[in-house]
Amino acid sequence: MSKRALAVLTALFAASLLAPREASAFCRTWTCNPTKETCPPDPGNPSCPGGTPGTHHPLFWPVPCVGFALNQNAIKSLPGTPEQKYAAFEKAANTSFATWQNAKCSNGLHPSLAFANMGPAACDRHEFNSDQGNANLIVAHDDVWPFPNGPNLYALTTLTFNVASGEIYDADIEINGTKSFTVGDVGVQVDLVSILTREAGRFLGLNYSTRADATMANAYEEKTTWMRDLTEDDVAGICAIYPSDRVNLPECDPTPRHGFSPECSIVRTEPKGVGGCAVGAGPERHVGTGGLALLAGACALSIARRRRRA
Amino acid sequence: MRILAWKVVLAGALAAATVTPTSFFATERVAEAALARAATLRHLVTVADLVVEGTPMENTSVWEEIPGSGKRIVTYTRVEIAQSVYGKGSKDVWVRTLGGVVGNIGQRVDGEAVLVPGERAVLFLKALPEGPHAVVEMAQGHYLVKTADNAPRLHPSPRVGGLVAGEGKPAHLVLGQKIVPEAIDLIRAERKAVER
Repeated sequence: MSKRALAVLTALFAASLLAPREASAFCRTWTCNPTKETCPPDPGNPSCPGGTPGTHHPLFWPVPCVGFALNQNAIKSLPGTPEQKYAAFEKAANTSFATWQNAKCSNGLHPSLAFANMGPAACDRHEFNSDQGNANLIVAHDDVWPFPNGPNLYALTTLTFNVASGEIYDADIEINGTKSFTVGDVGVQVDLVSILTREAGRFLGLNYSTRADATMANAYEEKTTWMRDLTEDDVAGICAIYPSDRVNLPECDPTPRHGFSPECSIVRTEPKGVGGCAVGAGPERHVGTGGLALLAGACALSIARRRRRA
Repeated sequence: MRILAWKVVLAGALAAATVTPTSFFATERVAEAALARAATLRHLVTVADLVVEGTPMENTSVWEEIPGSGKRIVTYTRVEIAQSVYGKGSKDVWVRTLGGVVGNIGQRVDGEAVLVPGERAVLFLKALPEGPHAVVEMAQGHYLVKTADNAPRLHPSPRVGGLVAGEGKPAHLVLGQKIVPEAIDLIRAERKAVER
């Protein structure tokens, strides 16, 4: 072997050592709020938005198991009777969460987070209550997608979390039920299992992956089912957040924060002292007259609505 | 030879650091993700009743009931309008986005536009029945305006969500990297075509 060839081989070997592994392509969701502060890249993967360690935190469930519930009305576009629709919806959700739960980490063990299906829920909207029961809900909006500015959306996941710790309090997945979802392997339109597997990753605290073939990538191709299966990058992500040897975990109890409630709350509440018409301390400094007028109007409307409900 | 070898090693290392799967896909379009179909420019101008070039200024987050969805944290941002591309725009417009922080509670909605104060942008907006505007297709209707070589150009939002392959050329491929006047001409022409 010539010296030149040897040098090239050495270079390639060194490059392979220095290059970030594919496993680091996943991004986690951080507490940092870019509308209020500078959010530096994730120190674990500089390609990802992150935060300042110690000040900001990646999101996580601080428990060994989490419950989720499915809206009892399932998804209208699924075929069959209402019971069959619900069964298909439930199977798709169970499969999606099980895919993450059964991932095999590099030590051969599973991530330290399990899921429990809490059953059907009558509640049909996203909410988080500070003094009433909750549900980590998967719900389809069939007749009207409540985001008229986003008719192209297939699903969105909302995480509610403690800003000071990154602890996830609640996660709800909203599905645009006006789309044509399918669950089978043939005649695939928008594959519900793929979509739910992707959104389940969000539910867990993963943000996205910079790998184009990962379930957490930003490109789902209609009429395909490849997103149902995790890549090693997705597995590395879930195992990084929930390593199999996590310590100091409480006993498994999938009950959501403040108890499980399949019903929506009658009077929706926010965490005490920060909700309702309160304006956060930071923004208050910057709100102009127009903003305050808008907020005052919104508050008045909100109070009037509550009174009407009562 | 030793010098040559180290040059090659260094070049290889730099190449690896530059073109790894991680950084290769880390374009500005790749970021937080809701699953959505890629919006064409035709779709954006069909849904948007107001398109502006402007700068997000102050913002505030509150708990609010979204009809049909539930109670959630939303963020109101006042956008100072530099120019209205089309639609009725005055000096400024209030834009509501999902998510934010109120007290110690945060909410994050994947794929939503994040309007950072001071970051000039072109925004495709839709008036909501409740009053304020929202960004069309969330982050897909949000283009940052960045100036390089004295030319302000459009850059797709770093928070564009997952894009289901759709029919037609996605708007971010049409508008991305275009200088602002050219992009505005394209947007106005497409809007005119829709109105005809």
